[in-house]
Amino acid sequence: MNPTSLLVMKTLFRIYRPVVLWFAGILVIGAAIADAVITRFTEPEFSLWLLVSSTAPRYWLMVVGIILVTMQLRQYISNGVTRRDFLIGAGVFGLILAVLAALWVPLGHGVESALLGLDGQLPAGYPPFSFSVALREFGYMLPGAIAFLVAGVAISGGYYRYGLWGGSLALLPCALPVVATEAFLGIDGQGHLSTRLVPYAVALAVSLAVTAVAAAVCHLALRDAPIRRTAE
Amino acid sequence: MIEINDLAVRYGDTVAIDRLRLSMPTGKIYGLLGRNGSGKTSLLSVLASYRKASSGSITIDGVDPFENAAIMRQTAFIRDTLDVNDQERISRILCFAGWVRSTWDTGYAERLLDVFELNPRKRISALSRGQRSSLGVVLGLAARAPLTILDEVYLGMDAVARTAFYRELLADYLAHPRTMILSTHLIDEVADLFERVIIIDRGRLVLHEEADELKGRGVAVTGPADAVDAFTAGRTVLSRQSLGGVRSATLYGRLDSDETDRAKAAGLTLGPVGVQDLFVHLTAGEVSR
Repeated sequence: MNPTSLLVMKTLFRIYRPVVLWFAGILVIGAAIADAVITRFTEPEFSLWLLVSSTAPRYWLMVVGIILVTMQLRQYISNGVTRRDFLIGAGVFGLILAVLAALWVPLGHGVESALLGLDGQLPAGYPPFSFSVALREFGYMLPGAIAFLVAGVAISGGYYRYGLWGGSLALLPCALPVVATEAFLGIDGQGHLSTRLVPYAVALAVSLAVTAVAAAVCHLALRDAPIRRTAE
Repeated sequence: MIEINDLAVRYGDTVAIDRLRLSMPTGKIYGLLGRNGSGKTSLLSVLASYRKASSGSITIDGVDPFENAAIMRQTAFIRDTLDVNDQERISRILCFAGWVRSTWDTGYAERLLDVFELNPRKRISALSRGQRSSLGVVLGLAARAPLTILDEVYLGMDAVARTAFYRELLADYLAHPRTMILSTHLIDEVADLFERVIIIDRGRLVLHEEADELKGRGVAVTGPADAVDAFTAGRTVLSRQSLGGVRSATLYGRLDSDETDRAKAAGLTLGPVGVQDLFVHLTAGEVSR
C-alpha cells in the first residue's frame, strides 16, 4: 500500500471512529438491557447477542459501503487523491472493519455467556461458548461482513457510475454477494449460526468468489468514473 | 506547460468540448470565459482529472494528469457546488483538507474564515449561497496547490465578499505564485486580475491571448455625440452610451496613429475597452454598425 492509500485508510478511521463507537455502544447497551429483561422473566433458549450482532453490523457495513462511494469518493478526489489510491485505502479500511465486525460477534457471545452463567449454570438451550464456537462464529461472520460491505460499494457504485437507469439494472448483480451469503450462511430464528444447503467450505468459497467478482467489477466501474456533484 | 490537443468531451450526443487546442504556460492567472454551456466546466473537469476526455489529450508538464498521483496532488479544483458533505461543519471540512493535502495552510485558512466572516462551527447546510462560495474560496486558496482552478466560485457572494476574494487571491498569488484558472461571468469585475484570457464558445477556442493584448483589440471613444457618430461611422461598434450631449462608443479593432490623431483633433477622448464588451462581441456577435 502506497503512502496515499495508507493516508486514505487512516483518515477514514479518523472519520468513522466516533460513528463506530456510537454504533457499538448502542448495540452493547441495547443487548445488555434486553438480556437483563429477558433473563428476569425466562430462561432464554437463544443468544440475543448472536441474533442482534450477527445481522446489524452487516447492514451497517453495507451502509458504510454506500457512503464510501456517494460521499467520500468525491471528497478525497477533490483533495488531490487518485481514484486508485482511494479504492485501495478504502478497501483495506473496509476489510479491517469487516474483520472487527466478525471478531465482535464471538467476543460479545463470550461476554454474554459469562454473564448468563454467573450463577454457575447457563440457561438450557442457550448456545454454549467455547474457543471452537468462537472460531466458527468468526468464520461465519467474516465472509458475510465483507459481502455486505462490497455489495454496498457495488450498488452505490453502479448508480454513481451509470446513473439511475444503469444503476437500477446493475442492482441485482451487485446484490449477489448478499444473496449468496444469506442463502448459504444463514441464521435461524433463535440466533444460531449455521450453513445451509451446502457444506461450510463450499458456502465460504461461493460467498468469497461472488464477493471477489463484485469487488473486481466495482473497481473497473469506479477506476475512471467521472466525479459527480452528487450520486445521480 | 499545460498542453491541450484536439480535446473532445461528449455527453451522449452533446458535444461539450470540440477538438480544443491550447497551450498554457504555467505560473499565470488565467481567465476562462464563455457563455453558459460553452464547455468551461467540462474543460476544467478534464484538467482536474474529474473526468476523462472522450478523445484528444491534456498534458501538464508533459504528463497526462488523469489518475496521476503527483499531478492530482498538486491540483485544487473548486466547483460552484462544493464537493463537501452538507451535514458537516466548516471546521471538519478544513480539518479533513489538512489531513489529506500536504500543501494545506491551516493558519491561512483560519485567517480567510475571518476575512469572509465564516463561523467554523456552522454546518454547510446552514450556509447561504454566498457563504458556501466563500468557503470554496477558502478551500481553493488555502490548498496552495500549484494548479488552482476556481469555477465560478463567486456565485451568491455580495460585493464586499467578492472584493475580499479578489484582494486575497491577488495577494496570495503574489506571495505564492502558481497557475490559477478562474472561470467567471463577472468579467469586468475580475478582468484586472487576469494575465491571460481564454474564451471558448460552443466547445471551441475563440481566443487565447494576454489580457493587455485583448484590451488593445478595442477602444472606447468619448466626446460630443455628433463627433463620436462621425468618427464611428462604418466601424464595428460594440456598445454605445449617451448622457446629454456626450456619447461613448466602444469600437472593435485597433486604431492606427492617423486615426488616433484624427480622433483627438475632433475633440474625442480615447480609452481602454472593457473585456466584457469584447467578450460579448466575440461570442454573441451582436453588434451595431
